[in-house]
Amino acid sequence: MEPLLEVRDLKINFYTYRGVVKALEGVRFSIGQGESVGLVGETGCGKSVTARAIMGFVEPPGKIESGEILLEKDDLLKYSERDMRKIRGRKISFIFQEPKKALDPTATVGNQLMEAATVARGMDRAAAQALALETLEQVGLGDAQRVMQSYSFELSGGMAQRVMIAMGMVGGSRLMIADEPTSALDVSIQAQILRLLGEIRSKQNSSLLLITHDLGVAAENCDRIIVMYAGRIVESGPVREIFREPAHPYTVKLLNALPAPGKTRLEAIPGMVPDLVDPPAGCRFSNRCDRASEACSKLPPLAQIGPDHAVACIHPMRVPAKAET
Amino acid sequence: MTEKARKQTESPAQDADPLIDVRGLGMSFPVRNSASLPWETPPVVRAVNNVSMAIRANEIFGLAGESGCGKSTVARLVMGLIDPTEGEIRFRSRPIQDYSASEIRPRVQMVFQDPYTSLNPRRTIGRIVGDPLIIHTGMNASQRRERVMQVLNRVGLADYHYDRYPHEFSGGQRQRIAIARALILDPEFLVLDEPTSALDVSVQAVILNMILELQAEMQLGCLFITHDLNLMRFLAHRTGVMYLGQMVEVGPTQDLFDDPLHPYTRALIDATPQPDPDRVNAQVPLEGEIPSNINRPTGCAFASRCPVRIDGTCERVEPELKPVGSRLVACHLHHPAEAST
Repeated sequence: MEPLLEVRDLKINFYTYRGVVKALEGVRFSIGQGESVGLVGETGCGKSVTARAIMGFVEPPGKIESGEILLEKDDLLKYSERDMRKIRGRKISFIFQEPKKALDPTATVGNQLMEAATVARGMDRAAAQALALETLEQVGLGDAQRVMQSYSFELSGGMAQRVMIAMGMVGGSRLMIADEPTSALDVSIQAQILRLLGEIRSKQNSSLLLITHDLGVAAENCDRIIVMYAGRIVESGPVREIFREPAHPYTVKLLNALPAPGKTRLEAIPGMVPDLVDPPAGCRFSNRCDRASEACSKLPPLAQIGPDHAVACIHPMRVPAKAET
Repeated sequence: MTEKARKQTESPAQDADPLIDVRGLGMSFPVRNSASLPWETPPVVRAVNNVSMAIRANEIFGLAGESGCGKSTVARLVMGLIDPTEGEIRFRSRPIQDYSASEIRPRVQMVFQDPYTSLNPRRTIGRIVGDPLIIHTGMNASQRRERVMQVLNRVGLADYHYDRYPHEFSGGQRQRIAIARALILDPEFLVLDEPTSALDVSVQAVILNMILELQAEMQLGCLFITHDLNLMRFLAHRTGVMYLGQMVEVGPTQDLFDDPLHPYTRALIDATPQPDPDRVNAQVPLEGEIPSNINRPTGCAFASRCPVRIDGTCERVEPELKPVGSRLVACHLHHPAEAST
């Protein structure tokens, strides 16, 4: 199957007064048509930067040093800012963590949605209004007429996130990038929004790149998982294999650190995430890994260990599936 | 330490009593907005409504609920930072308002959610952790320094951290400092308000392990507030679930998770994502959103979103928190007799 989006060897640096922060180093992955991919990792691992790079949101002091971002074989990194505007909203939509900050506070929801429809699809106002109303109903905002006339401050967090999703749908994009779409919401609202994203995806056969720090959210909503650590992909594979048979020691430790019923102690990961100004040579997890050896001072390549399952580790582990309760 | 001696002098009979006993607690805040006129009575937010709970020594009591349910207000009330408008809080069988600040502070302490704002950026760690000793003990400088070092080492920090400032520490280390500050006077009761929600999973694991160790070692009574039910299930001995200022279910954590009685508890558990790709979550998520606390619905606060609402009863009659087995539940489904009255 042709991937919808392919990221190849993406390298991003941030030039700060402290030195060059090597935020991303050689990230490569692809997203297929209709696929839901979860990008997981802890703070500072580069998951948001990856998403922002796809949208063309990397600004100084950040710089994309090398790599390709291919959307249906077109390299987005070669696009001008003007051309990128034609991509955003039409081909790729972005769902922000804090929808109330991402929406325009001075325009009604209706005007923002209609603007998206007229600009992206060249519709006239009447058609745009009809589409906006219909989309709001599709995202579960029953009182669409009233929501159209509301400003973002009049909406709750959950409603605002539904509006964001509607904006993405109005432009007709095939790929939704959601950066922690539910981290600011309560669990019952989170469940509603995640369910909505899943429904839209299956209805429109669109793809989703879901960025989250919550492994539970990733496990329940993604087909494939990419685990990042300190600016690199350490493991990627089908969701079941990642959670049942993780191969990278970091993935294993991350899963063991989660509070779960039946555990009396959580497994802590010793040490801290390395400073990306001066990361350890070779494997960036080696200074916290109990399986590390001399060989880990060389960069481990992302090697296939199964169909569609790759791991960047010289000493990968295959831990048998843990008993779940 | 004198604190240790104090614990021993407390008679066993008193120890059987709960450490913190909250009865019929209510807290209302007036909300004045720009639209209200000076002669009008401002509308009132009932942040906490008729909450009762008891927390024993050497017990972690977890308080769960979504934002706006009043859990943090309960924490502030229990700390004595604000005075309740209704009900009372007893600490060791004596109303908490009867204690002077110098009596209560060494015995009840708190760890705040955000370690980036709860530490004074202009003071050294030694000062931050050691100040309570100046206020509450007669220790001289070298005794204080020794005690601070001892507590810092206990929470996994080194001696050389003594003269550093908060900005030099990571989030996890700052939370260690906040815990050291809370524990320096050897308290009996600790309020932890979302202490790990600003931290990454791997750091959270370290902090949680430490809290568990310290709690067992010092026989602390803890009020642990979190919105993360997985966390609650992992560490709380007993759990209370709040909705719109009210306690809807209280009981031993295991019972509550194995067989939630209140429909809201059940919905919250179902809505909490699990790191298990095979979990079949057939439950339809709760519809709607939490109603406003200003215009509280009559009857059961949860009735508008409840999937198993009894029409004609739930919207009219407010359910009381009553015992069902090992638990207390406020739901008409479990007290049908009362519902018919």
